[in-house]
Amino acid sequence: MAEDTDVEVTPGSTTATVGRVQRLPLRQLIQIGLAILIVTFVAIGSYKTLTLPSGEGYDPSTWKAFVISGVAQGGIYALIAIGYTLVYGVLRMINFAHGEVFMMGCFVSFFFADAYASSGFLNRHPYPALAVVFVIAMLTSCLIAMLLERVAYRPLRNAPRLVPLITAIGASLFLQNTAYGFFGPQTRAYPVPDVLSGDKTWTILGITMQRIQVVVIMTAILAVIGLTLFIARTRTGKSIRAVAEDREIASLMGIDVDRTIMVTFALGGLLAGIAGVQFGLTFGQVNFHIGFAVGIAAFTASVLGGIGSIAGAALGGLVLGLLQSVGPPLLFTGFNIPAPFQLQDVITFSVLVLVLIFRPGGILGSGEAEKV
Amino acid sequence: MGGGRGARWTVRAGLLAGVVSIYLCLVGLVGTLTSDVVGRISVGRVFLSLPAVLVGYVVARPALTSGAVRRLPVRSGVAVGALAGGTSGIVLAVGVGVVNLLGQDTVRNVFVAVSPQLMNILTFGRSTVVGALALILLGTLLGAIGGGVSAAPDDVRKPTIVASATTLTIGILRTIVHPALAQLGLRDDWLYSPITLGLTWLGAIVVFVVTYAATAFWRAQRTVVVARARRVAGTEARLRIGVLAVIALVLIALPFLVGSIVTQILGTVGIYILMGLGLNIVVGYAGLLDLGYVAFFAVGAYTTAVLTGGLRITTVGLVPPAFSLHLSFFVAVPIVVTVAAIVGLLIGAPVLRLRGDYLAIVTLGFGEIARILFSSDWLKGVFGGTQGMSGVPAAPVGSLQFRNAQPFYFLVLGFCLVAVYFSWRLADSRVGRAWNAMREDEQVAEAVGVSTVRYKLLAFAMGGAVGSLGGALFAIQIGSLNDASFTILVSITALAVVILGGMGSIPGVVVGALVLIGIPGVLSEFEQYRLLLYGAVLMAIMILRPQGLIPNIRRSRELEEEERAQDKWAGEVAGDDLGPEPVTPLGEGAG
Amino acid sequence: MRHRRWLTPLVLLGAFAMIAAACSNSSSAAGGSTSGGAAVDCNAAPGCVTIAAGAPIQIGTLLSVSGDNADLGTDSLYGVELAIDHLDGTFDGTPGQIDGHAVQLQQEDDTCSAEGGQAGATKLAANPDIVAVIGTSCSGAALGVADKILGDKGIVLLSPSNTNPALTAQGTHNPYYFRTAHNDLIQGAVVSDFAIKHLHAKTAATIHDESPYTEGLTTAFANAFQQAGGQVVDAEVIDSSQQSYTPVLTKIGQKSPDLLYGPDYTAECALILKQGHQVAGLANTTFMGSDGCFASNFIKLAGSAINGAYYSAPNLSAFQQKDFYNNEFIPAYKQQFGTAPISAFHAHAYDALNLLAAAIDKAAVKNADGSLTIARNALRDAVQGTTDLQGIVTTYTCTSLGDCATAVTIGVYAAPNLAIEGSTGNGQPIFSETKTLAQATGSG
Repeated sequence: MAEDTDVEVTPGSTTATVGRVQRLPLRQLIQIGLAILIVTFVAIGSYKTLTLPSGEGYDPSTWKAFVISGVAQGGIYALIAIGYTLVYGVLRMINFAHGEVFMMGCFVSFFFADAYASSGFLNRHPYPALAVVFVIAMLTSCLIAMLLERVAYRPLRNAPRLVPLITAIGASLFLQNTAYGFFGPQTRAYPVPDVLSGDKTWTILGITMQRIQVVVIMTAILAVIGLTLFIARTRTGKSIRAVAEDREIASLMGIDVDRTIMVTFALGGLLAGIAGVQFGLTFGQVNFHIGFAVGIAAFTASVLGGIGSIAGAALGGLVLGLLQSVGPPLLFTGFNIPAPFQLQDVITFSVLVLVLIFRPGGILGSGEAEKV
Repeated sequence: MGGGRGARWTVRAGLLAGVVSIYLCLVGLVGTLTSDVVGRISVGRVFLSLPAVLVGYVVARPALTSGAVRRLPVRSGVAVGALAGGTSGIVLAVGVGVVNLLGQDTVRNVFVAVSPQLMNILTFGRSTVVGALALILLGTLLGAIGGGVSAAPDDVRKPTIVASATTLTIGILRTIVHPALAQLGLRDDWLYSPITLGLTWLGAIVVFVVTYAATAFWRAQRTVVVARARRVAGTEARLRIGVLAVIALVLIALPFLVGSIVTQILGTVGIYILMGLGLNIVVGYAGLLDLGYVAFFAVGAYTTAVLTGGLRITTVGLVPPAFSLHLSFFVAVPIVVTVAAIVGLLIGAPVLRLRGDYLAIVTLGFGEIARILFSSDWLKGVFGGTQGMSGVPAAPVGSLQFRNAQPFYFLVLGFCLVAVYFSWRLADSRVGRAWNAMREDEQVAEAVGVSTVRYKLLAFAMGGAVGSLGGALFAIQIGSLNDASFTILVSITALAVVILGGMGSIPGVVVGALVLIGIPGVLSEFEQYRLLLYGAVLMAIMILRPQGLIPNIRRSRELEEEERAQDKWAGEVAGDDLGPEPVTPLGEGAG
Repeated sequence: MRHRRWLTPLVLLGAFAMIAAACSNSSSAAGGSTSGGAAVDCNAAPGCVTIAAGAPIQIGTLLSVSGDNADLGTDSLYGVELAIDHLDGTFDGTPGQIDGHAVQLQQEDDTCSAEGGQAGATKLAANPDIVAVIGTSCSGAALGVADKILGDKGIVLLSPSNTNPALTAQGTHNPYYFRTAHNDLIQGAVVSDFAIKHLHAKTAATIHDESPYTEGLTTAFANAFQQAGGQVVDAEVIDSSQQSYTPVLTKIGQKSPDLLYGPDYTAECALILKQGHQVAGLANTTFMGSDGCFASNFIKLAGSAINGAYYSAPNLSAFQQKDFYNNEFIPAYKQQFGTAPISAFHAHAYDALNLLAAAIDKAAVKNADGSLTIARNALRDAVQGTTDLQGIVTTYTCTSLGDCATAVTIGVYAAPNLAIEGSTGNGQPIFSETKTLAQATGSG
């Protein structure tokens, strides 16, 4: 290939020039071909769906319902995705077990919520009761996250990247099955106070949504703002940024790396705990398995939005939620594919692949100034 | 007191052991594993005792203090062990007390394992107070034993450990040993009690003594024996062939020795060896972390089913798929492999530029997509949708039906040998060297003309082809396909097999499969806890011995190089401005 | 060069292995024949089982006792154990006997999957003393797997809870397989009748969750409904590992069907109810499900959304032996296992064991020395020949295709008056139909 001869090996610039060699026509060809295929499919599918006669197609109120559902689901993903992104930022590692951190927070908080519901406390004084439940969830998730870091990840801080990744998978399996052993396989009914029950709605900016959905979305927005400010303005936030930038130099500068990483995990845990309670309140259910699917979805969201970026994680969550609820009807109905939602993950991962091919940093990736 | 570590440390270790004991109780391992190992001691009780014994062992280990290795005299070892074990017993006793205070039923609302059976085991059937005291006593005793063994001289310690482990293993593995002895026509009611289905005390003592003696003998006479073997064999090569021949004989004789249940489990082990070998090519040789390997497994299975005349399951019975052939299994295999290779290319193409964690998540997605597509209503006409397929012919050759345990075992054995040979030659071939280069530094590899595109695609294609063999054999073995068999767990299991054995190591894959599939298969009570143990094993291996049980030497050294490369790539992707890499970074050394 | 030396032995080994496979097949084909008694030919495959005097009759169980469906299998196991207890005529906690021999269970787990069915069936098949097996819990573990492995050894497999129609369909049925549970073709037909006669529904939509049980039911319902003139306007699929079904429900809501039939598992049933009630398009839709929804905490999970929904299940109050069931069986269950019944097929399991016991009694040859010889084919014939056997649930007459509970009574319950723990009301269905398989498939 002609480009091979362009390699100049000069000290200090090896990276830059060799980097260009990576752009081989063959790879680009394959990937562009793929992209064209996907985009064509999307375009045709969407067109066909949108031009269906009104009996078979979807009317605007249905599209609106899809969108609202997607955004609300995205809000739940967002909080957990932020946890993934924080840890990736400082450790360059996917904390596969983060979904289980979320699940544990939800489960442990369930026992308290259930007790309050039985005694009536939950409905008599919903706000204090919920406050306690949230705190319990946050504490639990925080604890589990920190335990995870201490036991499973810290010994592997300097190991090759593959090793902590596999440990994380092992930890995820372990935590999930610990919950199974402790609490049993049965799905528990997460009590919902009357103020937040499914039929109560709030109307914001003309859109009517379930109250809990509003809470979820608001929390996601607040979390992004709050965390971004925290990272930018506070001393701990600066330490986190420093450790994310370069761990060795940060420790040379006097930053307690161990403590900073612990704080990062704790932050992720806090948010996961909040997400846990919100999940319980939204769906009214909890079992040992909820962490798995939500974890993968949330991680996909964080990669989609731009790993290492907090706003990116939230954005990714939003995009993923929309993809899951709007994608299948939009793309598959036109082709008369039965049960389009069954193929929901096909859309999700195809989009992920597309994004990673053309924008490996995610949507808010390369070029993003604000990062962890 | 203690080997320089102090009483505080010992007590802390004991507390930790106590917490672990409580964990084991709460997760159900103690209460539900009720089959007996020795006499009336159940597996659950053994689990309960392990933390105390182990903590006693650990605290009495020789310690490195002031530059010297300080060994404990046995008496101190016993004392230290007793302290740790006793502490652990106290923690457990407190736990029992708390449960009784709060009321068993209340606690069971949260922790479902706290059943009357469990409490019975913990208190030895007596009242709370007596039971608690017994726990403390038992803990102290076990810790003392552990400490004593640990502080004993090597000549006593090592044989004791081997003998104890062997006794426990033989006690648990009755399912294998009993039929084997029966096949050989030997009576074993002195060894295994027909009532408890565990070892009798006599049997346990015999096993212990025999193993102890054998280990001691081997330790003493090892060099002599090996030298004599060498002399008999003549040359090194002949010795190796001799060993190979023995292994071959054992492999062939195995199904006739161990009975059909174990043979069938070995068949499944063989399938996972194939999967492991395929994944080994992708992860071990080419360094591409593939978390969606189940895609190839599914492709292999469903393609085989469709090509050999499998039928779709519907509510009105079995119906031929929209497209199917009735090829013989052996004719279908090359087609299946080709299809899988093509799928590998399709999976590899989009992920060419991804590394590490990103590659993992995308391949995970592909694995899920494969499962979804095969079980979708959309493709129901071919693959049977949710109900799946059935009636896959058992690869008949004349009157030979390969679904029976023994013929299947040999079929799998044959395929495994082919795959082993293929992997082994691949590692040393030009392709293998290109993968090494690609793995060590992708950019430099590109610079010297190794097309990463081509070799990555090749890795996926070849790895996928081998994995699909596993799927094809699975279709033959079970004859029925359903999406419940193609979940992400298969990918994780295959990965665990490769990791446990050692990435890039062929014998490692075999060992990994034997441990992770064979053992849970044989110990069916553990079925419930299989995933828990997988998770624990993965974590333990990565923290304690990341190169796996049988490491590939070259790969271990390279694992260290990978970190820097990944850091750099990840940094680029996240927008870090790392600047040009200095040509000779400080402190690089030989790592 | 030295490597080459390894090569030849390796390849030879491979070839040898294949040849060895050929030679080994003959040794594995033979069944578990043991020396027979006087009037029985035990040399013909699949042979006989001989139980020595004083030795127990070994019966295997292959049920889902772990994992997500542990309730189903454990509940059936309890039914079997109660049946063994009652062999002596009372529920006193001491097991009874069949023909003077105690009954010993070899319990295996089918983990509600094909692999579990295979592993468990192989273990049972390898025990030459196993007389018959009660199982499996889940249809996926039986179809083509356990039924074949056990059938090849001539071991009768009698299921208390498999409802998948394919198991007893022409061409797929294994001659050694039987079940006391109903065939879901019947349940689907009853639901369809209820929809048309009681709900006057003209349009319907279905949701299944990718598991064979639910998909079988929705298909059976759709076929019956369409045959009766109804129209299925949408057939959707949900993923049981996810929780957000609003988009799917919204899509269905577009068509505003009269009936939404989602015979899924408990957690999903609850979510469908709660989320479905928020969908505008489903405001006038009736929600229905089936016995898969009936875990003990279903009512708690569904909350107030359960009102107005209907659920089909074996009509527990139309049990033939109602009084016995309510006044003796249930109290014994509670007393021995510490809980009210945790699933829906305990009575079917109880009847299964009794069916088996009756067949054993009929087929066994009692020898002079007190031992028992049972020819496997004779046992199978005895099971298949079961006629008018009174069980708790119904009268059993086995067909050659394996369905023993031919006339099945399915009830439809109006929530929250369901026949499970935690429900208010008398637990009576508001609609009940008894159908035979022929009637359900429209050929009767």
